[in-house]
Amino acid sequence: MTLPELVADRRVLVCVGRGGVGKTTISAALGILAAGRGRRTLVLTVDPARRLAQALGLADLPRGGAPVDPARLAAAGLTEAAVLEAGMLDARRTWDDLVARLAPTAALRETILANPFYQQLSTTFAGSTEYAAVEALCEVVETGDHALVVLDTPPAAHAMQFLEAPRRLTDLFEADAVSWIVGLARGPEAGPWGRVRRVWRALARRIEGAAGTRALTEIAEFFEAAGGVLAGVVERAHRVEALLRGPDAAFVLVVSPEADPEDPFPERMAALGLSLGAVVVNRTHLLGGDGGHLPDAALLRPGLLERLPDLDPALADWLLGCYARARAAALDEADRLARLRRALPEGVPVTTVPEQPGDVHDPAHLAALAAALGRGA
Amino acid sequence: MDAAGLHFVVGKGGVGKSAVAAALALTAADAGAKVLAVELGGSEGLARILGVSPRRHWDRVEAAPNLWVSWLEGGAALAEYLGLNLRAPRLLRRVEDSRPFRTFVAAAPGLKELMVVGKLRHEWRRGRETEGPGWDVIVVDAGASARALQYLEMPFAAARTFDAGVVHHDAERICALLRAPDVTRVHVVALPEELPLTEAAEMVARLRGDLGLPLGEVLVNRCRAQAPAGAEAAVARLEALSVGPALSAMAVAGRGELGWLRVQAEGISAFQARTGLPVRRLPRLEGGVRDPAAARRLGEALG
Repeated sequence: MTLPELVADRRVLVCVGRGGVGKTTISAALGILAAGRGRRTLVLTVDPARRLAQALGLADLPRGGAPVDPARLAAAGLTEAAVLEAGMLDARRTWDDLVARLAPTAALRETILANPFYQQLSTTFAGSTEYAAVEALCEVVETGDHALVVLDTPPAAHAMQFLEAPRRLTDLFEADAVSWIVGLARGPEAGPWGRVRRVWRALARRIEGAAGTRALTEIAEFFEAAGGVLAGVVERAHRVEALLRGPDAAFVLVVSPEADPEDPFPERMAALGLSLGAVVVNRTHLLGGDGGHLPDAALLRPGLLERLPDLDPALADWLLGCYARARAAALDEADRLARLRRALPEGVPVTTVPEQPGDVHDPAHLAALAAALGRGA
Repeated sequence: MDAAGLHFVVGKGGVGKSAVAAALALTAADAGAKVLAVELGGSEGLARILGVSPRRHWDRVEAAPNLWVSWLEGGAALAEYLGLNLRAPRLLRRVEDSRPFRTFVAAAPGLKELMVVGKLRHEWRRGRETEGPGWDVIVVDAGASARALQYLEMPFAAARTFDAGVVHHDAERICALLRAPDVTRVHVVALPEELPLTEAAEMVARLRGDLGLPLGEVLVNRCRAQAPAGAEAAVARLEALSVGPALSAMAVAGRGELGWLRVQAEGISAFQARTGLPVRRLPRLEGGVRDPAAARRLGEALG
């Protein structure tokens, strides 16, 4: 399936990729593409730099999503009928809402919300933002107000981090880890595990003493209080996983042309039971082809000076230099692209988006990106 | 650039932190200083540019005369630290691999980052206040983490969280070293485009604000050389010719270059207006910075 076909067909598109490759911009452009083709679309971002808000002309993205200014949409070439909404994820709020929904009593909810470990968990724990992102996605998809949701994922050092993080977090909540941690702090010191617990507790006290904190105790208290709630979190996480593995969702990997073409990302995705829908190579310098059809810069000097005989030599050098650099970049990128295509599983389309100088916040720029994605070339 | 000291290279993903760190380290080592170049959080770009591959946390590999390369990871640094404080090595080995320990490490705010920066402090002090041969220069590539200032912010968070005990005292000493104007330099790397420069200005504000860290240089990486006078008109003439794919491609390349030069000039002047800081422009090297030779060329622009 080509990228435009995925945009027309799926209910969820998840943009993944390393930090700095332009995921947020591509997410916004996919949103414009889908809205322009008549789909009621929501773009969700977790980007703390608020790039999407700037790109879509929203001063501040509301959590649930808000319609993008029709004037902006018109400037991006969309008609009045197009519906595009944008929203920002707030990990802490998402977690608090989840706890509020799952906690059976108000007292339990307050205990959990006030627990220092919970506060760490919902803000700084590795994977909590990513989990909040999939949780919010689940909520939006289940309400069914939008035909398509485009999810922009948190910036990460590796594309895999987003996909692995929710799993790491739910692993932590699965019954054996919870009972292990609670048992460590609360279990009896007799019986077959008693000796282990005694050693653990002694060690925990020493770690806590050295660290000047009650972290282990707080963690145990949290798991004790939140046991039932966590079962709900795990259950929901499994539902989200099913959604992401099912036919309604597709992953779009955004890479820069400098990326390693033999990145094992697709294989690692497959190992998680997820399939890659499309690859977008963002900000290419292909110069209308792979550069191979263009002659070496040195060969062009006579032709250039023949056409523009009065051209200052310094300007001729400059023009030839621009050409030579652009040609070298195009050749290099064409080679990398060919290797990337060979390394990808069969049937995964690769779309290239040329780099354009200028302001990515400009609706016309986003429209040009959407058009490039829509061609699916 | 004044070399002696503890240099942190920070910036968002993709701006060329590792290339700048490699250039700084090689330049200092070539000038005769004993240099440690270290990457935080994992081994990603710096070691690859310098042509070595330290395999484990704190493996030090000699990459050039006077230059050693290593990387540090939070969990391993914490285990080392606990080893020094708990004096129960057999037990510790079992604890390290266990889930509750990993949960504790992951959940305790700033502990991993604190331990990594603490290790840097220990290395910096070696040969100064304590035993052993020390380093003249330590260059730190502050990692490919989502949060650009993570390693510089978290020790301060840890000092606040752990309000008593050994960790609190260590955190305070580490924060004091980070703030020492005669030792530490935090260099901010950006690209000559609007958004990266806006983010760099925000980073500078954080560093100057409540973090209060000594700012080094602002390095704008991959800058384009100025076009000669009359370039605009020459491109327009070439565009008007419309002859053949090669000259058309040349016109496209020239127009693109002019566009990027405008973006670069506007971005840098907006940055300067906002921060009042000078910037150092680093050249855009063809083929990128993928080996020590390219890093040395980049280093020439560091002065």
